[in-house]
Amino acid sequence: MNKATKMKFITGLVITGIVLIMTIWGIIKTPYDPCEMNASAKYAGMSIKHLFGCDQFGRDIFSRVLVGVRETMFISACVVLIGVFFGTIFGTVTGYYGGWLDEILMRLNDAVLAFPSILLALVVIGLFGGGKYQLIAALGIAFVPSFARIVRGEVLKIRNLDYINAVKLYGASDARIIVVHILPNLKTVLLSSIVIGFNNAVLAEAGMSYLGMGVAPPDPALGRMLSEAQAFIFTTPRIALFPGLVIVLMILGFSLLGDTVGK
Amino acid sequence: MNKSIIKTITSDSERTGNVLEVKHLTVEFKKNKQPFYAVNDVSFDVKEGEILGLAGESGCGKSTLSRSILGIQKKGVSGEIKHFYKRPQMVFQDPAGSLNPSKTIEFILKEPITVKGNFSGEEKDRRVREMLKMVDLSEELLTRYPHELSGGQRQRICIAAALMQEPRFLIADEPVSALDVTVQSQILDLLKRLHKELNLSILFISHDLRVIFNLCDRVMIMKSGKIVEMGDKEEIYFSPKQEYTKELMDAGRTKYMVSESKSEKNIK
Ligand SMILES: Nc1ncnc2c1ncn2[C@@H]1O[C@H](COP(=O)(O)OP(=O)(O)OP(=O)(O)O)[C@@H](O)[C@H]1O
Ligand SMILES: [Mg+2]
Repeated sequence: MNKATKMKFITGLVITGIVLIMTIWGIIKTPYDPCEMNASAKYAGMSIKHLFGCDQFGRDIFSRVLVGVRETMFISACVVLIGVFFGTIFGTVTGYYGGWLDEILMRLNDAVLAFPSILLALVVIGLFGGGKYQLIAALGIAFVPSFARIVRGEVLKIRNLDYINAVKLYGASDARIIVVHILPNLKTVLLSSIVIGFNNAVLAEAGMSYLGMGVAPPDPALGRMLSEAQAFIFTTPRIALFPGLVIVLMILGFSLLGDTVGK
Repeated sequence: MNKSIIKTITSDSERTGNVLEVKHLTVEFKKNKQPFYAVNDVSFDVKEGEILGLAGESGCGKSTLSRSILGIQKKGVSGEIKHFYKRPQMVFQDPAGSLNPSKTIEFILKEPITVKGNFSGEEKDRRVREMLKMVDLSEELLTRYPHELSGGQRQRICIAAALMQEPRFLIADEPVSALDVTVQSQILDLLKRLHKELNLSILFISHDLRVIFNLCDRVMIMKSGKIVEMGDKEEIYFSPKQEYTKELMDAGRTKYMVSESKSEKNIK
């Protein structure tokens, strides 16, 4: 790791650390109930009581951001988990066995990949409704193909290596070869694609909630906070600033890590 | 379709004194859409208890031949392959790719007897230790990963792993080509010893005729996919019938080296 990479890595680590602290804070206890409207605190400015001030309903923005970060992290983590889990299964099976199964699944993959994941998620939500868990399922499905593709490529490389041939000569079953000898060697490529995937998931979740899908109001979501704050962008820009800033921080931190992890 | 090409015959009544019989083996690849025969109508036997050498220049098809014999290469293979013992093993040419990088040496050595055979944990430990002793390696290596070994140690581990199931037939594909000369001779001595102690028949592949002379009983010379000459090593080395064999020997100044080592023996 050279000096520039190291700087990037450390910066990424610090930013992600801040995001993680906010997540944990959001899980444990926020200073205020994020949905509580306080008529006397409408548009309240930044102060010790309200770190980021209050919005048009007098809700504490800091508390809302904390919960928003928590929700985004939760949804993104679930999305990536679904993507990695099914992507690894499909990618391993198609990569290892090849043949017609590979052909079919990879064509399907190409078809899914051809759509932007947000568009695909919109279709799924159109079919099943727009709550938080529907959003997780929708984005999760949209994320499977890219993981499947990466895993398949790696498995194609590994399955022809001589240590796999050696194990075949011992008489090992396909299941054992896949689980014991191939899967553990996917760690490295999975790790970096998980970081990148997580990043994309954060963006997708923010985008979807900006469009009004996902976490249902009045519970806060970063994207929706942004879209609601648009009306006040010239009068009270602070309401839009903080959720926007946090989204930028999350993306920045993860992509710095994604760029440098494994180097 | 390949399953029918490779037959394994294990009944004693059908033994012929060979561990392997190959007839009209052909391996076809496509090169620029043209058929290309990496192995072209090759027939030979490996006798029980012998070391058969296979020599030939780089790219003549030695690895393809050995891979198709063991069913690793399946596409484009035709002919007839008869094995007389179960699960023949192979030491692969590329030492970097033949050990799983994410497994310890202990795991790698236990794998053959985990996959086949009902051994208790203790028995496995014992057999791994015995095998390590046999290939002259210390037990300290057990907890290491392949990248933490030297080239020579790695090759010994490959040989050890290939022998864990106590095979009767082993293919060694250029097991010493990637090693320096002193380590080469150690590994060759090891193979010679294992061959005697374990009654192991070996198909030994090399492009180095001196190495083959040192180790083998019989020799095959391969050129562009065909076996051009086959016979006892003395015969091949001292009265080669094919122009190509002569060229190959002249190129390596093999004859000179070999006759020198022979006269040394005569003096003794
Ligand atoms: N999978 C493949 N597809 C197409 N051609 C191949 C394939 N594998 C090998 N060949 C070709 O077949 C020929 C024989 O290759 P092979 O590896 O058997 O040679 P070799 O005698 O083992 O050489 P070396 O001494 O360098 O190991 C070469 O011309 C090679 O390019
Ligand atoms: Mg070769």
